[in-house]
Amino acid sequence: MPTLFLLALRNMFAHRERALLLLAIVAGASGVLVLSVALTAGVAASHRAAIATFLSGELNVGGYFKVHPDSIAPVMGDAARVREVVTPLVPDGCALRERGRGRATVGVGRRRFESYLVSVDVAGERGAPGGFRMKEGSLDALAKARTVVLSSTVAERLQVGRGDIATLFAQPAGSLRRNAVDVEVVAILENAGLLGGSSGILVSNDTLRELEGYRPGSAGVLQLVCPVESRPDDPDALGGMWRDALRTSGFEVLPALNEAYGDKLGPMLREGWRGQRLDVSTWQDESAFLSFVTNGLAALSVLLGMVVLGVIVVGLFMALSVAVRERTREIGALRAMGMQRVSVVGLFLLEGLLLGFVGSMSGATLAWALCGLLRGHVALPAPLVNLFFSSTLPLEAGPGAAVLAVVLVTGAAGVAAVLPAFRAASLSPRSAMESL
Amino acid sequence: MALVSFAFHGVLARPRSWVVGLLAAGSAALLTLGVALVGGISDGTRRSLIESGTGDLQLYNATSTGTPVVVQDSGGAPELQPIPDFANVEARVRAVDGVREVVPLEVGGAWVFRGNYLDEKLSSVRAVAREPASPAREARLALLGADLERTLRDVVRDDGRRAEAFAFLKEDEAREDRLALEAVAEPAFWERFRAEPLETLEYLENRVARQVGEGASIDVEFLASDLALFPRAFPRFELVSGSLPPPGQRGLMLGQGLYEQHFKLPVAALLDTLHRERSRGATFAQDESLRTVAERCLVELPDLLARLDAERSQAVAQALGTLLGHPGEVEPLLREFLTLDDANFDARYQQFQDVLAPHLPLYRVRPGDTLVLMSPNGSLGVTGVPVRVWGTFRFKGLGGDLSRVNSLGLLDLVTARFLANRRTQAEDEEVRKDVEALGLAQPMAPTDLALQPAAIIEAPEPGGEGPPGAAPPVFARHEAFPEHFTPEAMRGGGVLQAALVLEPGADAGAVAERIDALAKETGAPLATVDWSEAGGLLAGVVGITQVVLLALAALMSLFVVMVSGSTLLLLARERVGEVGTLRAVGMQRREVFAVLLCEGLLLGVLGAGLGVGLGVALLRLVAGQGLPVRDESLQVFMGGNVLMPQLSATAGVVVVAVVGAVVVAASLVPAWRGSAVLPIEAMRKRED
Repeated sequence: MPTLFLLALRNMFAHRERALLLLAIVAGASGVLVLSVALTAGVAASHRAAIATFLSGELNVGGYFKVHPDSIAPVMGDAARVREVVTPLVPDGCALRERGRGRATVGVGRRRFESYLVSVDVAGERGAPGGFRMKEGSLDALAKARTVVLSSTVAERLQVGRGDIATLFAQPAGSLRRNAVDVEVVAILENAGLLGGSSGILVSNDTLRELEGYRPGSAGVLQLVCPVESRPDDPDALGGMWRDALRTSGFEVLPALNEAYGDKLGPMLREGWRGQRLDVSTWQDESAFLSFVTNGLAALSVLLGMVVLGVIVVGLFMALSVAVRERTREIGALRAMGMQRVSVVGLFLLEGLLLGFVGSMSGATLAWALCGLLRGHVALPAPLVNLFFSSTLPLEAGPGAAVLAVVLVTGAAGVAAVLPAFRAASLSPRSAMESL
Repeated sequence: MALVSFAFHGVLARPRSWVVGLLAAGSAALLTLGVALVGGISDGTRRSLIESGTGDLQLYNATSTGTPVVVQDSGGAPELQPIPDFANVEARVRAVDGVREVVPLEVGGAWVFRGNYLDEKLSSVRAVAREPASPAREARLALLGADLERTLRDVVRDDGRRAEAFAFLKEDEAREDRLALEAVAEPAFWERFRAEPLETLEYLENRVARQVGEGASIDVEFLASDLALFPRAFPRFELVSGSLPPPGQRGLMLGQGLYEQHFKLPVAALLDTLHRERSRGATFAQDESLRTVAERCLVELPDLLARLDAERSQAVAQALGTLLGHPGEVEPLLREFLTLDDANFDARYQQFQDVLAPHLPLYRVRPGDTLVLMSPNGSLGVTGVPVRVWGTFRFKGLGGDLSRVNSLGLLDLVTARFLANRRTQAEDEEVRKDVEALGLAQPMAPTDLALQPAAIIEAPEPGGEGPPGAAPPVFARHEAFPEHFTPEAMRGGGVLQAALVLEPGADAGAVAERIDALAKETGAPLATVDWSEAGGLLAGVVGITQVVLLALAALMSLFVVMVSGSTLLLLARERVGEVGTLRAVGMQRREVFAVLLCEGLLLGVLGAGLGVGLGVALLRLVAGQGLPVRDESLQVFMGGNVLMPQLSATAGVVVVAVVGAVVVAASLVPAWRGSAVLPIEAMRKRED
């Protein structure tokens, strides 16, 4: 085996030019694979970060209250009791964050922008993981009564800046009543892609209560926030436990549904129940409406991977077939010197695998380095910023992507080498010598 | 010529070089398929948009800050200035060569509330109460009244729980609401109901029903236009039910898709969904999504029951008793009837349509009813504009009822203007005159300060104004949103944009230039955008498919260059002897290079030609009748329910040229290397 390996290495050296070319192809292929996987992972990561900031904790207990069947409010009247039940089930290192949910229109002059609204507990958010990133001002300013933070998308559309006064209208789902509060814009959020347009209004929990007429002590949702290292492994299982605990304490809990809270409001508005119900959801549920982006990118990566691997198999197959023809004399000599057929097959396979391995390793390493280099430095055009939730190209190359690329590409190179290797082995020593 | 023939023989003599041709053929075939599919999508989307209201071009006021769109994104309508003196502009633009129709348009969104369960009960009681007195009426009224009393007791009980989540905003408002509910809970109230049903009903509608909520809101994205002109300009428009509003009358037409999805009884719409999915081969046994929809039927049941008055509920119970073979209460019977599986679904669906549907309020709105369209207005709050629904429509062949174009509403321009709170030119003129008459030299107040109350307002009698100091003017009652309008009010209301439908075969770019010239000549601030800009998000999707195709093609070209380059390099090396001989007999290096390059060109072009041919044959074979697109939401991109791949001759030639060029580029280095052989070296090599 080591002899074969040496031989294969020597062969590659002897045909440096061809070997370099093939290596370049293989390296390019694995580089493309690593980059596409890195992009998919990067977009998924930036989605998750944005979702964790704006919409959801690892787990959420949200409330829905229906006074009458044809009205609904996303609120739980007695958040303290819910907190009591859930607190013992909070994993170590994690915390509960109290937020409010709603939908509102911001108006300035003639301009209007309607969006989901997020309300925060200003003191509780300070220094917590997954905080909002501000372009101007800080979240602390929300502690003042009747203040609002707008996303840059909303601020641009309304042409307002810090210090301006805007009017916040809320029309609770299923009602004609509109409440309005005049608020001061105290900060502007950094560009947050689609979420900046769809959840671009931030107020304090107290302002939301005032706007919607909720009772003191109410909250929209309790969110479980964890630093990366103590994230629960199986949020669904933990969610099941929370659901059971809440049911045992006498709450009515809705069945699990893989949808964001905003998408549940419409259908629930037609359901006949009255009173308070709770809903436990995971971060995957809350980001279900975004999965089309990551799913699309993953599908594109698979397509790209298939094209790339196909090209490698065909390209290497042709190159190696030509090489076998070209090296007929050499093979003849080897066979004449007593090399077995198996060894010839092994030699050529090894060459293919070596090419694949060395090429893909270098390609993947280069792509990895490139990811690190480009990360945060390539500005994206506006429509992509909206979909990727990041103003620069999000690339997250994990070791997994590199290993996957190396394994796939080396495998493809091996497959491409099989037929030429057998063809080489099938040459008889005489015919090989005769081709001179 | 000799070079070409050399090259030809060279290629023929070396079957191994054919792999390069095959590679070219393969990539050309793939590219052909890709180009044809993307072409089909692009053409389908273009047709869908152009033929459903976008027109070939959109005309707008060039001084606007935004550009017109017909497909809105989440940010709302762009800011457009009205086209000044539209009637005149319309006549001039219509005279431009190539323009067939000029259709004034306005794009917007409004919403309507589904209404609460009390509304429907109250309206059925009201209908009976209005009948002339008879023993039958008394009996029905007593039945419905008892049902109403039960329902209202529930309302009062439900409201008791409000404080669990809400604190009242204003105490006065809260007190008034609470008093109304307390009154309803008294037995005296129901005695009054029996004596004076209509008055008590009014009290309930005004004081109680509004507390119960308005139900889900239904978003109605609309195109507003001249409803007499629109169907003429867009021949795919097809009336499904009802009629178009007569000229001069305000009205709303609902897209059949919107009507079926949002105005139909939810349970009936869910059953339609199940029926549609099953006719495509889905089954309850295999598809979880189907089971979820079926469960949803049961979840929606209380809503259906709450909306049935006592008479209908009895009729339904009776019909169900016959169908299921045993009598019972309406709720358990319906629950049993709607417990669906693969065995009973088809029969149940048919029974629902034939037997139950006549007893149910199947559609919330029927042609002839009035809907209140809500939109945010310039000041605080919302404007509600009542408008009559005249019928439903669809765009023929642009996807099924789930397609976006069939989920639009079509509105007259005047109602759209009411919704947008914009004044007409005549009104602006009047305001200006008043301002001048009062001697106020300040600039005119911005229009958005004008509040338009959604009720009866008072207006001075025309011509009744005397000189200052004379008798006070006489005011007449005046509708805020009159039902009828004059042609001037329609066109003079500040038309924001207009769709231009061109003569068949007219070039949109050329017409746009002619309109620019017209604008320069007359000084009118006119500008146009084409469908791809007005198509907004939808046209953006086409752009994305094109970019993806281009990226894949670029990637593929790179690999073709590398793989065929390496193959040709190896071949070139094998030919050292041959080239040496050629050089020895006097061929110049330049000529050898040209021969080798020519070989690449031959392989590339022949291969690509073969590939394109293969691609075309494959398209004919597989997609000759078009590719059926089942998903109705995708049909708008295909311009119908089949995707017709589009491949022009130019596109074919471009594919051949590009692939040929790629292969020639790949053979540059091998040709250079191959030709760089000294005759003497070649001879020497031959010897060892």
